[in-house]
Amino acid sequence: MKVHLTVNGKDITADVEDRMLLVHFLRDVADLTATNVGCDTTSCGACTVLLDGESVKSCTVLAAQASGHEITTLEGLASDGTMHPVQRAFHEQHGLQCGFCTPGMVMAIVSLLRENPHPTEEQVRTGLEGNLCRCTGYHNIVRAALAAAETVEVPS
Amino acid sequence: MSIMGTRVIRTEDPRLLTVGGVYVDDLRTPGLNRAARVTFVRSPLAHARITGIDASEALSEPGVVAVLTVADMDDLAPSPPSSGEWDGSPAPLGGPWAEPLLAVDTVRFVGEPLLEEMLYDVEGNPLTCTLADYAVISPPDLPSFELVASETPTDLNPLGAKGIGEAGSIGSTPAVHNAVVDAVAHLGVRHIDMPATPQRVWAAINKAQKESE
Repeated sequence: MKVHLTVNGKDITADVEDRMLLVHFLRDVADLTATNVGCDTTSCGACTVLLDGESVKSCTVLAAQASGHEITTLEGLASDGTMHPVQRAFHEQHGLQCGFCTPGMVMAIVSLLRENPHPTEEQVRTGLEGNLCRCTGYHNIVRAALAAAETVEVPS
Repeated sequence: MSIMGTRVIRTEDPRLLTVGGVYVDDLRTPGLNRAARVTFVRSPLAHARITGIDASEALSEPGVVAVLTVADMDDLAPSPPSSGEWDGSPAPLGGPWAEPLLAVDTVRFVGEPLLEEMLYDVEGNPLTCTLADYAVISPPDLPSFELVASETPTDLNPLGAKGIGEAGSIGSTPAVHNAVVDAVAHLGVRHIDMPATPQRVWAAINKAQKESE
C-alpha cells in the first residue's frame, strides 16, 4: 500500500507491505538506522521515536498507521550540527555506554520533558519504565534527563 | 590529580547520540545484498550434556551454506587452567587464554538477586524467553546511587582485586541479596534462593513461621 510520512521534516512516499512496521520503514525505506530493534515485543523501548511529537515504540506501530503523520528520529534532533539539549546532557553526564538503547532513551526523554518540563527524579524513573538499559544501571540516564530539564527552556 | 571523581567526557558519544552506532543490522554496504546471514541456534534443553551435534538435516535445507559448531573452530587459544590443575600460584595476567565463545552463567548484576531468572517447565522448555517475562530491571526499580570507595584488598590475587569489571564477581549481587534477607531476618528467615522474587520472599517467610511454631 502507498504511505506518505514526514520523517525529520522530509516527505517520503513509498509503496510498502501492509504489515510493515514503522521501525522497518524508518530503517529500510528511509534508511535511518539510529532507531534500533531491541526486542520486537514492545518491551525494551530501543525503537522509541516521536509521532507528531509524542513518543511511540515504532515496533508496535504500522507504517500505514503513521501515514500522514510526522515522525522524528534521533537523526532529526540535532540542528545545524548542534546537539539537542537532551543529547548534550547525555554526553556530559555519561548517559550511555554501548549506545544501543540510547536513541530510544533520548527520544523518550525529549517526549517526557515536553509533557513535564521539570520532573522529579521519581517522575523521570517512572517515565522511563518502558526503556531498558543493560549497561548503565540508569543512574546517569536519570541524571542526564534532570540536567537537560535544567537547560531546556521550551523543549523542542 | 586523581582519576577518582574526575569526569572524562567520552569522544565516541557524539556519534552515538546523533546518528546512532553502527551495529551489525545497520550495515548497508552493497556487497552485503546477497550475503549469507548467520543464525545462532540455542540449545532447546536446559542443563543438558552435548554428546554430539548432527547438522545433516539443517545442511540439507535449501539455502543453508554451512553449519558451524565449536568443533569447527581449530584456532582457539587454550582455556585458562581449571581449578583442578591449578597449583595455587597466581594466574599470570594477559595470558593467551580464550574466554568461552558463548557466555555461560556470567551476566550477574543487581537484576539477578531481585528478578531475573531463566525458568524451565518440567520438559525443559524455557518459560522466560522475552524481555517482558524475563523481568530485566527498569529505571523505577533502582534507587539513585552514591559512590563510596571502600578498599580492603584481598591477598588471594596479585591485584588485590575482589570485583572485576563486569564479570560475575562484583559486590552488588551479594549486597542486594543480603539486604533482602536482612529485611526479613526478624521473621526468622535466614536464606532465600536468588532471585528474591516476591513469591520466594513470601514462601521463605511462611516457611520460617511454620518452623517456629
